Amino acid sequence: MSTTEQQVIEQWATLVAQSEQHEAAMHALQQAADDFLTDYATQLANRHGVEVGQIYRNTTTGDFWLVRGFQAGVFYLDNDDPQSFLRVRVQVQKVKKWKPLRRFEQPLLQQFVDSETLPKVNPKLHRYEFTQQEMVL
Amino acid sequence: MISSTPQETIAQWRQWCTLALAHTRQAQECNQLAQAALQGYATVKGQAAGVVVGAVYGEDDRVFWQVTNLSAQIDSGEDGRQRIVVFVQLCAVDGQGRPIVPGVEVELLLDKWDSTRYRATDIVGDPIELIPF
Repeated sequence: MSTTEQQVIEQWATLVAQSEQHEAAMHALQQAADDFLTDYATQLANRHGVEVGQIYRNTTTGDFWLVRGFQAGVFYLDNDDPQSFLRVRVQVQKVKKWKPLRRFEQPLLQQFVDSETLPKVNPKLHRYEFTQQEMVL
Repeated sequence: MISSTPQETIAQWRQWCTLALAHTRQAQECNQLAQAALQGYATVKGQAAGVVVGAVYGEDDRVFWQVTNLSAQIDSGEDGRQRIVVFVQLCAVDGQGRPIVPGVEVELLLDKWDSTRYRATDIVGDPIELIPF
């Protein structure tokens, strides 16, 4: 193996290692960003009285839904609009049986639906979602 | 308790995304530089062997071979040592330099290229005799 070949191999290996380090950092930052939004979504939902494990009744269909978790995402109205919104989604699972607990006698969902602000019931997607209305320029 | 506003949350999220994007670009740049290092080595080794992109060799009176690319990749041998393998890509062309079968190329190992006799072996081991054109 010539010195030149060895040098090129070492240079190549160094660059590949640097690339892998950058990719690892990129994945860690993306995960941190996702976790940050998820934490925020959970806190926001909890502030609205929605917690994992609760069961809600869709007052339109009569179905019962178990709250499984929360997701948040940043979205834009369109590509040309710089305004972005934070959307929080409540992940729910349809359940067949509902144990009537005192805390659900006045379903929070009904309160949401009756309010002028979101959340909106999205039966097509089988999930309830509400959107933080504040805009960020 | 929520300690930040939606605006602050989005700003923080954007900051992380921007940093992540910067790392993505740096990773791409490193990969490009790594590839360029190999490409440069392939070019130098090719020139040393008298093989340059654009050179044409005649196999017989009807088919000619034109060098279209030189490339290299790292190969780990059975002994664990790494070496650089240089490939020569050739395209069959007619007397006017037009590809006979567009898109079909032959890849040769440069270290099996005999610059004296212009004899080479393709990657599946079949001999190809190349005559300077």
